[in-house]
Amino acid sequence: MHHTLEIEDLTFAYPDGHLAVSDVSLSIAPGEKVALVGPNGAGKSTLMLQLNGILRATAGRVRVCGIEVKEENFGPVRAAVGLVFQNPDDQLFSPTVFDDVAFGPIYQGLPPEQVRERVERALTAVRMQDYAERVSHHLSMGEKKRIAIATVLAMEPEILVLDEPSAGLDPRARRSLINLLRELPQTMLTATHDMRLVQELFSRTVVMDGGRIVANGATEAILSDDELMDAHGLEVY
Amino acid sequence: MHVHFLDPYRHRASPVHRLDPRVKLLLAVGFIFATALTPPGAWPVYILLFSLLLAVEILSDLGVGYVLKRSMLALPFMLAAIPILFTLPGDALATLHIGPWELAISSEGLERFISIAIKSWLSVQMAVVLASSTPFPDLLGAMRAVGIPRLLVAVVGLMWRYLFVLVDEALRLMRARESRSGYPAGSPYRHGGTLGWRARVTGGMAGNLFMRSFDRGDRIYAAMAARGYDGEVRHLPLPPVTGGQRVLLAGGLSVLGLLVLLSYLL
Repeated sequence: MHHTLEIEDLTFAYPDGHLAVSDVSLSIAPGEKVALVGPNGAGKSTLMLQLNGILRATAGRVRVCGIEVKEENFGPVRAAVGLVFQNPDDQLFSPTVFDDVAFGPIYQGLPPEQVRERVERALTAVRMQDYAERVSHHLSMGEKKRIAIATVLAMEPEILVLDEPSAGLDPRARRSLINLLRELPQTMLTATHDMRLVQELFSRTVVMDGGRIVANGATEAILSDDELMDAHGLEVY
Repeated sequence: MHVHFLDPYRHRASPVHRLDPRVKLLLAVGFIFATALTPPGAWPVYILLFSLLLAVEILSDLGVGYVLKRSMLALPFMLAAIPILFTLPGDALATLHIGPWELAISSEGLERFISIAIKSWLSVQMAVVLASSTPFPDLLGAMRAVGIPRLLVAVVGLMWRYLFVLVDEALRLMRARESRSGYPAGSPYRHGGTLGWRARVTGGMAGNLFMRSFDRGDRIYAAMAARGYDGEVRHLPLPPVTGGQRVLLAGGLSVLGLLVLLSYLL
């Protein structure tokens, strides 16, 4: 049986020569929820952009649901991996919430009634079903984050990759986001600085620093390793 | 995850890079003026101007190929000169039949067109050398020093600063769209959506970007006003231009003046 997400010896350098990810290997089992932590500039976001081929690895390979991430597979890969960007404003580019959530299904060529059904299901999953006709521009940060997740859920992905989902949220919005993430059945890789979120939701934690994976194991063991946390500028409140 | 390709500055340790930005700006603008002032068909002078330009390009250590590649950006603008081919009266070289119309290319028109193309291409190359050998902030300082209105320089400076922000934002928007442009393997439906729908999405993205730039403009102004902005950005004074560089400036401008004169005498 294949793992849902497999990264093998992945290396990525930006065109200016900056090595952002070097020699990273990681595999995540179906349904597993994994946290990715590390200081700013550790390569977390860059690694995430490799998982659906937005950035192309300099060396090594990535496989999602057994499909290799490469040019000719971008269609199925992007349908399988739902990437939720850190800033929901980047993700919400259509005039209304409905248009945004419908983007993926329409792109897939689904007939109109199925598109409507997908949108409704995705908005219901994030408890925003009354927002379909709203203008994305005027929503609050917490609402935008939920809609951003809905835009990806509408594609019915098998893997969710989230970049700092709880950043910039007030306590109540953060709480409802945590509940939402807990309910979602997808395999999940989440980059975050929110250690309490990690403690609550993820059984496994991967620590990245300087483009490398420096620790990978049970969340409890990693968060209680003061020396490791300190060495990579991490804090559990 | 930032866009660097927009910044044309290439760091080298060349005499052209070391030249005072004010002197460099005046010489470059002088070159462009001189080129513009030469009459059409002054081929020998074009060659002289080109060799002058080549010397600067080689001296600047940027690589002639690099400058040529960058100067290709000017090609589309040459299209604007195409009507001259047909509108200038003179001996007809060739006649084009487009439906009921007949267009005659005159030899005078052709000469004028080639002259304009060469002149604009030379000017663009000089601008490329200037922008690639001078860091942009220094260039802004030079513009202020030579008396370009402060407001104009401030607008150019802010545009430069936020162009990168805007392009980064556009890039992230496109990444987000690309990320959701997937389809399951073996799906029975044709993916990609209709042309009209794709155009609407792109329009939405452009509108989004516009709205955000608008909001950002307000925020930037508030932040500037909070720090005492009153319509003018103040800067520390630049050191005076050295004697040697003054001589170079005078010499360079005289050579350019002579070339213009020569083009009328020939």
